[in-house]
Amino acid sequence: MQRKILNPEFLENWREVDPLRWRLIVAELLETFFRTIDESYRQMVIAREEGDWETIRTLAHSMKSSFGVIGAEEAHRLLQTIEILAAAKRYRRANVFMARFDLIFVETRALAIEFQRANAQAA
Amino acid sequence: MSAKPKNAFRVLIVDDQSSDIMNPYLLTSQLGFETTLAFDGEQALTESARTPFDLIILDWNMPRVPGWAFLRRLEMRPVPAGRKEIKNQNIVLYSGDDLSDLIFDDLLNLRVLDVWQKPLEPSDMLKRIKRIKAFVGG
Repeated sequence: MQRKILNPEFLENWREVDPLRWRLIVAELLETFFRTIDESYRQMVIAREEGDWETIRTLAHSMKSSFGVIGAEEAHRLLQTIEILAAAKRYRRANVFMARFDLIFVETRALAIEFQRANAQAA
Repeated sequence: MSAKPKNAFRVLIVDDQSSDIMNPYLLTSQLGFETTLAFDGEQALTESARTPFDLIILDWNMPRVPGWAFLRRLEMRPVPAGRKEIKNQNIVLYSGDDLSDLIFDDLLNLRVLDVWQKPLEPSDMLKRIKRIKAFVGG
């Protein structure tokens, strides 16, 4: 199944729920996203350098939610996999997915910024 | 945290991830429910002792007191006079994990009305909440 880096329909789905305020809700969700992910990613990089897999597992668990809630499907799926592999102590496999996550993180972040700008302009 | 309209449908949302709490909180608040938040199972036990909730939306995978441990401790707790028995507590399980293999009979005799797999689209979550509210009444 082809997953999207950022599925705009997920956030735009709020239009069905609250046609008047949906852009404000989306703005709030994206704000929360940006407030948390940079620091979490930084901690994950440090944990990887130190071989601290319990921290990696915990961070993958919390970051997975942050990405999932804005429709970042690929990042969500990767973090879910990293969490499972870290818990199973399959570190070499987890490293493969973490390398992919490095790329996806950057791309997701850039797309989320674009979406945030477009949302603010349309509001 | 809770708003307090009288006779409102009372919901407890339990999740250690604030990003996962946002959507159900926004939706239940929008529907005018009296929504309380708990960020772990321990806090949820405190809140549920204080308030008879019509519905508990419960994350499964939490540190310290995870969802299943919360349910076990809820079941073991004596029921205050005038309150409904634990087996009549309405529960929604909410998880990023696949809970389809969970055998609920092994856990408790509770009313698990729905199982939500994260992430859930807001409109889908809203439909599910409305359906549960209609079923539960109140």
